[in-house]
Amino acid sequence: MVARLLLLGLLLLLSACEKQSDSGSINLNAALGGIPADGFARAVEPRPFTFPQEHAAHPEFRNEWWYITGNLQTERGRQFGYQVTFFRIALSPNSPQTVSNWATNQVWMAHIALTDVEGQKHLHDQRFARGAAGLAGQKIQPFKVWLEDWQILGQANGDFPWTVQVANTDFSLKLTLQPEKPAVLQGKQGLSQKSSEAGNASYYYSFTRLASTGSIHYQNQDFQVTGSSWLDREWSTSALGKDQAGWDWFSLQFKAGQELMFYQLHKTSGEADQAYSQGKWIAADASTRNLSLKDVELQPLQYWQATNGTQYPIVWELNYPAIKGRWRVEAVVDDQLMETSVLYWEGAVRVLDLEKNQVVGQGYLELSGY
Amino acid sequence: MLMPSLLLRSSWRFFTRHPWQLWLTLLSIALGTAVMIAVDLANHSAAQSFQQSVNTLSSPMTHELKAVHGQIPDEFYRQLRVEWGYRDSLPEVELSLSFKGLHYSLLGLDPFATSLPASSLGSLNSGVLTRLLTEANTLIAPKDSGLQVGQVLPAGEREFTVIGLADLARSDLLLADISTVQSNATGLTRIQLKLTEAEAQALQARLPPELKLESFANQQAVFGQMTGAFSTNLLAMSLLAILVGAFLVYNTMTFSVLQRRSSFAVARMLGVTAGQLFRSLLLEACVLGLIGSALGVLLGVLLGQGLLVLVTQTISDLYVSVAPTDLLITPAIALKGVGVTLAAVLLATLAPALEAARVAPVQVQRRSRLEQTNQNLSFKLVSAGLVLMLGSALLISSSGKQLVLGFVGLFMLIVGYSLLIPWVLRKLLKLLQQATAKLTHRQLLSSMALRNLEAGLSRTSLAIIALTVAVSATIGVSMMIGSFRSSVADWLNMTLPSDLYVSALSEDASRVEGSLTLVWLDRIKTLPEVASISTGLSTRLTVEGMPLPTLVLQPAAHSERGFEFLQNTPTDAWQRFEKAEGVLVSEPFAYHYNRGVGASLQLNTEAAGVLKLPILGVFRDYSATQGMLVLPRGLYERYWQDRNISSIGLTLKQGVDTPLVQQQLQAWAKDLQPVNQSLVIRSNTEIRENSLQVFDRTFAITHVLRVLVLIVAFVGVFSALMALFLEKGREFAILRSTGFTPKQVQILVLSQAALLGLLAGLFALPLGWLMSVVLIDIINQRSFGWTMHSYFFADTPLQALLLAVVAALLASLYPVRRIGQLSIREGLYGR
Repeated sequence: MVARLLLLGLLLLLSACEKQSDSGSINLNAALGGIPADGFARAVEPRPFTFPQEHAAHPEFRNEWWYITGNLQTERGRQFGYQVTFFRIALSPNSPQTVSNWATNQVWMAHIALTDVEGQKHLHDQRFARGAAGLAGQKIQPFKVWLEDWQILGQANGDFPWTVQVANTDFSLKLTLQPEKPAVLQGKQGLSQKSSEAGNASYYYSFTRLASTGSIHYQNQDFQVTGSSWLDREWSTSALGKDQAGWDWFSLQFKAGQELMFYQLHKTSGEADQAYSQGKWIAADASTRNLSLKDVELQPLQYWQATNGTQYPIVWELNYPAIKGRWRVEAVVDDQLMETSVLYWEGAVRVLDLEKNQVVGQGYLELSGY
Repeated sequence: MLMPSLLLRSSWRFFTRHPWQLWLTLLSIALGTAVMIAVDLANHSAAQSFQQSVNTLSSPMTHELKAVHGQIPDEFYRQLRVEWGYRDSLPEVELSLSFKGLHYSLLGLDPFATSLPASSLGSLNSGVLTRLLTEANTLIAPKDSGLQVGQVLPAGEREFTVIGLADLARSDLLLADISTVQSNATGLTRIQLKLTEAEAQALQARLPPELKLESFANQQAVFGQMTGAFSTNLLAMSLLAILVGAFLVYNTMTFSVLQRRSSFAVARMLGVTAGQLFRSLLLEACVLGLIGSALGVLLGVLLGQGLLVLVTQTISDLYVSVAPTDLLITPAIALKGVGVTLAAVLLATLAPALEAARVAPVQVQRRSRLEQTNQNLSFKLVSAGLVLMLGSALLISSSGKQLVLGFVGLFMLIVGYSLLIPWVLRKLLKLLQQATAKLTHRQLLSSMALRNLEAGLSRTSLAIIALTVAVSATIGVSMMIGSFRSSVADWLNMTLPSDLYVSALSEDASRVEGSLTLVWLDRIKTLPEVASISTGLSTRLTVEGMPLPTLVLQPAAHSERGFEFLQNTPTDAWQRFEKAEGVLVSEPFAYHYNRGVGASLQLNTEAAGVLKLPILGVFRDYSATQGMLVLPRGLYERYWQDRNISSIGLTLKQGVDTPLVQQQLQAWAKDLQPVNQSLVIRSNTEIRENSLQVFDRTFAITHVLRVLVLIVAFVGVFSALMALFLEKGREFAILRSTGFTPKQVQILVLSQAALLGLLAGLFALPLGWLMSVVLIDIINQRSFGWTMHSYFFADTPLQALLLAVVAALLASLYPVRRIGQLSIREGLYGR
């Protein structure tokens, strides 16, 4: 998923020029920038993926993430969106030189968010921690990714079901995730090429439909919820092209059982990147089809303006002529801006069939580089 | 409004025609203000520096967690943060290192733990943090430290490289990643936390006993309490400078009134009212005071730089380690300095202004009237002086433990004594004249010198008073410091009964507060040269609800020698202490808490809650001004789990070579002691010498202040002599024209100066002695709670006399030169 790689790349390399949202405190991103790619492994050719081992970290690569988004609802129909993301960032390909409990070459970052559709609210938070002294890290048997008390816990053998557990002062979330479809290897057998240079690619798989049940504690109330989540797993070392400014990324789940992932890269010049914008159509029977900008049409319909004046396209028309799909993808809450160390818009969306004007799906939209 | 403007112009003309008088007046005012401002600034900045040292990063943290001994386990931090959810927490490991003679504190912290203030680290270049985390032995230095990127700082066997510069709160602070500083060791020096009072209480309740939580606010308060007496002492010294300065202003104003009496008379005859004259003189003083004190503020800032180094040094030696920081001149400090000076100047001008205003136009012109007034006045002054001295004695004896009232008493004593001087001086000069008349058979020069001095008393007596006060302060303070030093030396002899000490030091190496591995005890026991062993554990226990330094003592057979018991301590106190029946307290503790032998105190224990223990004895101690407690080891082990020791005292057998044993211990130290626990092995002689060095360093500031007061007085004498001799230009010219050589006139002037100095020196002796008594018996006890023996140093009065004479002679050098150059014509007809 180029989108997330770009996010992280921006975070680590470019954000020195970003506006600090949390003014008055140290700009960790700026200070952490400039980690050279030398010495890290590169994604050059397709490789076999074996599960559940792939859920574990790949520390020989510079960056990696466990990216979960989902739409949930209570029995009475109250709707929520959520995001739980763990980023692993290697500062150096070499192991630390001291035996101190605190010594590490790994830094962890996590973002969490909750979207309250009824209340039209979006809450979010971020944390950093070093991958040492038990503060953050990853284990496979049993499976665990954690940053302090935010965590994903799996089974003893490393496999699903997973439990996602996060909390801050505003809300808490505890969900169990069980795949309803097998893993989808993105790109070419899991090798996702980012730009023309060899090695500028990532290894990337998704679980596009995870049955989710659990509870949300929010505004002094407990909500029992069920719904559907989406997991992206990606690891890489490569840097992206300098002419790539941002992206519009869609992960949509249709009621009829299909999923669609598509990202449209836009260049610094403002035009869409024809060569590397791509996606995947996953049919109800889990068969897949690769997509490029030749296969889909994207048209922004409506913008939302952030307080800093930036306009984010939060309503889109998405056409997929091959299956005669014409949809309107719209944010369930306008302001789902992630005011973390890097500013981006990531939020829950609903999908409407343009012909019948009915809701036919749900998903997440990510907007960056605006 | 014509008249006041006329008066203003007249005073402007006066001072422009007597520029030296103007400058000297301004200088003495400025010096007085400067000393006060400098002391105030240094005190203020030292407190600021302490605040920065407890809250190193000026972060919004409020509390600090530390281990009672040694380090906090790394795992505890994870538990605290992740399981207990205290996320506003910052783990720190601290190491001290020296480079090119400067001491630095290397702070290792976790940059991800909390939002670090942008002011300290925000200026870092991209990638510096990455390098801090991934490259071994890298650190960030403060921009104002003079250290450069790429510089290598050695620390024992390790070397650290500076890879970035940032704006840090202290110039002696180095920052690194926590893993860099921890290196191959484990454990944390402290955890800083941001807590509300309720959160702090909740945390306190679940903390294991080996950890303690303290709020910065509380530390600041304790610091204020500890150093309060020290600051007051410094402030009093600076007020002495103002007092001496005020005498000088009084002197100058009186003299300027004298000199202008004819122009005042003319003004009165022209219709200027007494009130207008009075107000214009006060206005004049106000302007002088304002300009002088403004200069003083500037001078004070410069002076403060130097004093701050001394003040922080003293505070570090006596109380807690603080680093010198930038001086912070606040409007409040400046205003206070200017205000006090202005008040002193106005007060000093009040008398001469009233004098000038009260008399009728015709009288003003008559000079004899003024000298007459002076003579009448000196009677009134004597009675006022006696009343003040009596009041001072009453105040001192009735003010209990009040330090400030003690100082007020001391000042009343000084002022009262000063008021006696003019009268005594007059009588003394009369006597001297009679004596010289008989002895020298009316030798012209000597009797002239005496008569001249007597005739000019209205000007010279003030200069003599100023010099007297300054010199007596020198005597009093010297005697006090001398007695104190001798008492401390005696006490050190008494208190260090063992021959050798192995001591574990605190992180900043300033106190014996670390812990020794118990292997030390076993090893030392095997040494055949050792006759007996004692062990000590330095810790802080909560006594009467306040943290108090405590020594847990396992005495050897010889240990009783370590205590000089005071205040009716019964003879069996030591036996009862050895049987663990109670505790010993230091004299300052007994003083501050009002608890003597037979009373009891309350201790918070780990095992049995609050425990009441009897005080078996009170001992002499100069090590802790807030007092200290000595607890028998047996008792401590019964109620506390801590089994650490921080020092071992070794008494060697007769005839054993101490350095040889010391070498053996030093060899063991290499493999016995963990890297992050520094340790010293010292003989009792070394500790004694070291302690006396610290003592001398502590009083360096007092010496400096004393010299400053003397300088102010010197300016006064100089100005008085100038006034006196230059006014007498006509007189000298007549002498010259009657056949005196310039040399003879100069000798006349010099001998007058010497006499003036000698008189001031003689007057200073009794006052100096009185001051030393008050300083030793009243001020010291009220400041620190300890008493000391009074020692008499024969050379002190001699030095003081010499000082006074030399100061007066030096001050006369310039006027003497002027007189030599003055032609008879010039002198007779004016310039």
